[in-house]
Amino acid sequence: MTRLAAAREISLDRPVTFTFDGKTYQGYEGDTLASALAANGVDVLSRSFKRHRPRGLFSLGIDDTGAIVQAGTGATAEPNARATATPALDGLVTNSQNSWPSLQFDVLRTLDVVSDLFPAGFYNKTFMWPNWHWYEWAVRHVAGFGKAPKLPDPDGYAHQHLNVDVLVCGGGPAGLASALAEANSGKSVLLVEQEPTLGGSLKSDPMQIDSESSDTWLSEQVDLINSNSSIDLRTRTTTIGLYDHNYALLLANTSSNARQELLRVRAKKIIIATGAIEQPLVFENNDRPGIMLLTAVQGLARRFGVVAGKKIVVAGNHDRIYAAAAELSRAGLNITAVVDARTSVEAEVREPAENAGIKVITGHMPFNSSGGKRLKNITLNAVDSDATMQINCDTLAISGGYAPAVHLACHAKLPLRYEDDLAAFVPGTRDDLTPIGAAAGDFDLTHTLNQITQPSRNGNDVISFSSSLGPRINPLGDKRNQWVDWVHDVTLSDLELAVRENLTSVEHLKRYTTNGMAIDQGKTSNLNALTHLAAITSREVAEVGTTTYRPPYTPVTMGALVGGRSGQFFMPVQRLPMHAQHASLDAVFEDYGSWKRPAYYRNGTEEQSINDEVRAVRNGVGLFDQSPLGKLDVRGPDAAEFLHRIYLNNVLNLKPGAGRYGLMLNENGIIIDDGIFARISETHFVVSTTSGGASRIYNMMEEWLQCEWVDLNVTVTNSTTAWANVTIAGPKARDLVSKFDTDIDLSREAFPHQSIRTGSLEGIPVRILRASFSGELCYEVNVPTGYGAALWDAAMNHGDAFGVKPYGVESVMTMRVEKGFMHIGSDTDGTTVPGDVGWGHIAERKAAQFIGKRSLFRPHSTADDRHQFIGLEPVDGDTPLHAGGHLTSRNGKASEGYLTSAAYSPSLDRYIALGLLRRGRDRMDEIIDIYDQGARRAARVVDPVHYDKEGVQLNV
Amino acid sequence: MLQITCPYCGPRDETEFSFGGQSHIARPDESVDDKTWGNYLFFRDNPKGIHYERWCHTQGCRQWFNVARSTVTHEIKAVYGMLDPKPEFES
Repeated sequence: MTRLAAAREISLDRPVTFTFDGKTYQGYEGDTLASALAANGVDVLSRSFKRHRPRGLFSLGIDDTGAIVQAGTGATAEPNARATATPALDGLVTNSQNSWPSLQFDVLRTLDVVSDLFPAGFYNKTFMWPNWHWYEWAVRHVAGFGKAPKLPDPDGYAHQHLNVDVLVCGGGPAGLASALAEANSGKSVLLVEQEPTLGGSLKSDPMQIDSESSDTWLSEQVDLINSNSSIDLRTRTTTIGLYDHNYALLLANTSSNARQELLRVRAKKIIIATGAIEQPLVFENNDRPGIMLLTAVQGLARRFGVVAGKKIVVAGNHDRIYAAAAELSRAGLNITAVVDARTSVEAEVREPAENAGIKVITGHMPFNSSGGKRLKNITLNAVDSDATMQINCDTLAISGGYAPAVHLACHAKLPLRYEDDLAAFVPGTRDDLTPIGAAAGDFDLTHTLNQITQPSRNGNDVISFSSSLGPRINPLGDKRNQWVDWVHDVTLSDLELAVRENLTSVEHLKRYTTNGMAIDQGKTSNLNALTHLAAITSREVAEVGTTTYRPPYTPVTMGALVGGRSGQFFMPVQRLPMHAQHASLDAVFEDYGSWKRPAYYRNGTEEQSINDEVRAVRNGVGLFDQSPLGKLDVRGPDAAEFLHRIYLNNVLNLKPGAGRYGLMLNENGIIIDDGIFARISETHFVVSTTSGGASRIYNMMEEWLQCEWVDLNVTVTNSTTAWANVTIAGPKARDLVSKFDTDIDLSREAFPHQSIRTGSLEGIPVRILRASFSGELCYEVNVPTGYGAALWDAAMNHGDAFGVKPYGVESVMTMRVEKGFMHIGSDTDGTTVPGDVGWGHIAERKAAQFIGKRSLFRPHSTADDRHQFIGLEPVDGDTPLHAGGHLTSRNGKASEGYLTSAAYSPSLDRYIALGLLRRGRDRMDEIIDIYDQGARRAARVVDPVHYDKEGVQLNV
Repeated sequence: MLQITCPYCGPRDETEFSFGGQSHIARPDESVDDKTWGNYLFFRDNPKGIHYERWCHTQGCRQWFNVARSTVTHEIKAVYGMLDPKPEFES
C-alpha cells in the first residue's frame, strides 16, 4: 500500500524485502516486521494457543498478543519473536507459529469447535486413564508455540557493568525531561528506551506542549539529549528488572560486538518513566483480527504511515478517544464513529470528534463481532436498554483507558494502590526510586513537566481525565467467547470456572487459568482478569490485588544472561605449572574441579595406558604433577595450639621435621577433609588439603581465627599456587631423587616416611614431603612455581635410567583404591564420622577440644549400626564394578550401604572396590549383594586394603 | 544484588562476599547437654525485621564483619566490626 506522507519513522527511499511464510513482502528501513506486514494487508499473523483462532496485530508495543512469529532460521532463529519489536531487515526470513499445515488453514482450528471440552485446567482432569504416557506424544506436538533452534548459538553476548548517578527507565516525554533535568544538575545519567526511537506516547498520540506541537518539543529534547555529555543514551535497551539497592538489569539489542548485551547497573537514583499500557475492552468475539488497541491504529498511521483499515470505528470508555479519533481523521483515515460506554459525556469532550464529522454514539458498548478472519461488522448494545445496533467496519480501535506500567516499581517493592478514576493501580515512591509521568498515574503532561523542572510535589498526585472511566467488560454476551487473554485463550467463563472451583485468590486464578502467563505476561489481560474476579466474588479490586511482578519485564535470552561465560570460558581455566610438559607427553586432560590435569598419558587405549602407569609406579618410578594439592602455611606462636583445635589428631606433640595424617571435622562431627600436616619448626606448619579444597579449608581457618579464637596469634597463608609439586613415586624413587644436587639427606634413616625436609635442590629452595597416596616410596618435591617445569624436565632426564613414566590422576585413583586409602567426599558423605572409617579411637583418646568433638558423643554418632568403611571383592571378578550401587544382604530388599569407589587393579589383576556398609567391620568375609541398575552381583566383604596390607613398600 | 559496604574496602556488590549466617552466637562449651548442643548447631533466628548477621569479603580483603539488615526491605541498617556489640534500632 502507499504509506501516508506523514510517516515519521520510515525512510521511503530505503526499501527492504523480507519473507513471511515463504511469501515476499516489501517494507522500509525503520519498519518493524509488524508495521510492514500491516502495510501489506496481512491480517492473520498467528494462531492462539488452545483454540487456534486467528490472531492479528493488536498492539504496536511489546504487549502485543497477535504478531508472535518465528524470526530467522537455523542456528540464529528466534522463536516467539515479537514482530512489533523486530526490525524489518532486508533479507529477513520469518514464519508463523502454532498452525498446521498453514496459518490460513489450520487443521487444529477444529479444537475451537469443541472448545467446551478444553476450559481452564482441563489437563488436570484428563489424559490420565489408562496411562498418561499414551497421550504424551500428541500433547507434546500440539503444545508450545515457536521452535527452538537445534544448533549451537554461534553468536557472542556481552555484559557491561555501569555505576551511574541516575538511571532513567523510559525515553518518553517524562523520561526525556527527567534525564535533562538530572544532567543539568550535574549528575551522570543513563537514559534507556526499549524502542529504537525516543518519544514514547507522543509518537502515536501527539498533544500541545507550551502551545507548540509535541513533535517540535520532542525534536528539541532529542537534540538536547544528544548534545549533553552527561547523558549516556541507549535505545533498543529495555530495563528488564530492578533489584536490591537500586540494581538494574537492562537488555540491549544495539551492540555491534555482540548479538545482545546485558547491562548491570547500580544507580544512586532510578526514575521510572515507563509510561502506561492501554487496556482492552472485553466483549463477545473481541479477539477477531481487525480489533486492535487505539494506540496501535494511531501508531501505525503516525509512525509508519500505515492505514490500519478502510472503515475504522473507535470504541472506549474515556475522554481521550474523541481527540484521538479527530487526529486520525485529519491524518487521512476513515473514522466512521466513536463509541463511548458512558452515557453522559460533556460537550467539550465530544467536540473534536463531532467537528471532524465523526458520528458519536454514547451509552453503548461493543457486544459482538463478525467477519471470519477479518472484522466485517460490530454489534453494539446500549448500556441502559435492550437496544442494539450494527456498524459495518473492518477495524475497531478499542481503548479501555491506560494502566501505569508498574512492573519495575513492583520489582523494587514499591507499594501499589488502586485508583478508581483510572481503574488501574498506581505505584508509591521513594527518595531514590521515583515513578514519574504516566507510570505514576499522572496523565497531565504539563503537570508532569512542571514537576520535573520545579519539583514541589508532596506525595504523588494522580491527574487523570476530567471524569471517571466507564466499564471495560461488557456484562452481556456469551462468556465462553469473551476474551481476557488473547494468547492463552482465557475467557470470562474460565475465570468463573476457577471461582466455582474455589480458586479465588488472584495468584490461584492466574495459575489455574494461565491468564497472564504467556509471552506478554498479562500486560493487557491481568487488569481485566482481576477486575472481573473482584466483581464475581463481591470484593473491591484493591482487595483482590495483583499477582506478584517478577523480572524479566520482557523475555531475556539465555545468551544474554550468560554473556561470555560459555564454552571454554564457562569456568576460569587453571593450568598446572608443567602443563606444557604434560601436553608434549601426550597427556589426556580432564577437568578436576577447575584444574586441567592429565587423567592419563596416552599409550594405547585408556585402560592400557592407566594399567601401564600403575605397573611402572609399583615396579619402577613414576612422575606425577601434584601441584593442585592444597598447601597452607600456618605460622605463629599459637600455630600448634590452633591446629590442635582444628584437627582430630594430636598436633602439639608433633616434632619439627615430622608429618602426620589428620582428619578435619565440622562442628557436626562430619569429616570434611583429610591430609598430611607437617611441622617445619616450633611456629611453622604446612597443612595439605585435598586438591581443590585449599580455598575452602583456608576460609574455614580464617573464620575461626577472626570470629571465635581472636586471641590466637596465628597467620594462615594459602600458598598452593606458589609451589609446584613434582611427585616422584615407586621403589626407585630414592634412586632418582638422589641424582639431584641437594643438601637434604635422603637416606632412609635420616628421612623416614611422613616427614618433611627443607633445603635447596640444584640451588633452588625446596620442601620435600615423604607422603604417599599410591602406597609406594614417594617424595613430594615442592619448588617455587616458576621452577616447576625445569624440575620436571630434569626429573624425567634423571629418571630415564630407571624407566621413569609420567602418571596421571586415574592411576593415582586406581592405586589408592588398591591401598584402601579413602577419598573424602567419595568414600565418605555428609554423615560420615571418624568412627565410621576406623578413626574413632583417636577421637576418644584426645582430651583437648577440637572442632566436632562434642558432636561425636551424641547417640546417633555412637550407634552400633552405622555405615562403616570396607573393601569389596566381586565373587565373579570378570567385569567392572560401578560406584553408586547399593549394598544389600543376599537378595535383600533393604539398602545397607553403597559401593563408593571401584577400579580394575593391575597389581592384583582383578576388579576391586571400596564401600560403606552397615556394621561393615563385623561382617568381614560375608557374601553380600551389590545392587546396581537392576542387576545383583555377589561380593565378599574384605579389608579395604587390597594390596600390600603390611605397608611394606612404604617402610623403605 | 545487595550492595554491601565492606568496612575496609568500601561499597561492593553482594557477589564479592560470602554470607555467614546469624551473628552474636555464643559457642557453648562441651559440657552442655545434647539438646543445647543441637540448638547451637541447627536452630537460628528467623525474624521479620532486623537480622544481625556475619559477612566475609571473600573476593576482596577476606575480612569478616557484622551487618544489621532488614529481612523485609533488605535495607542495611549498620555495618560494624566482628567483635563490636550489636547496635539497637527503633522498630
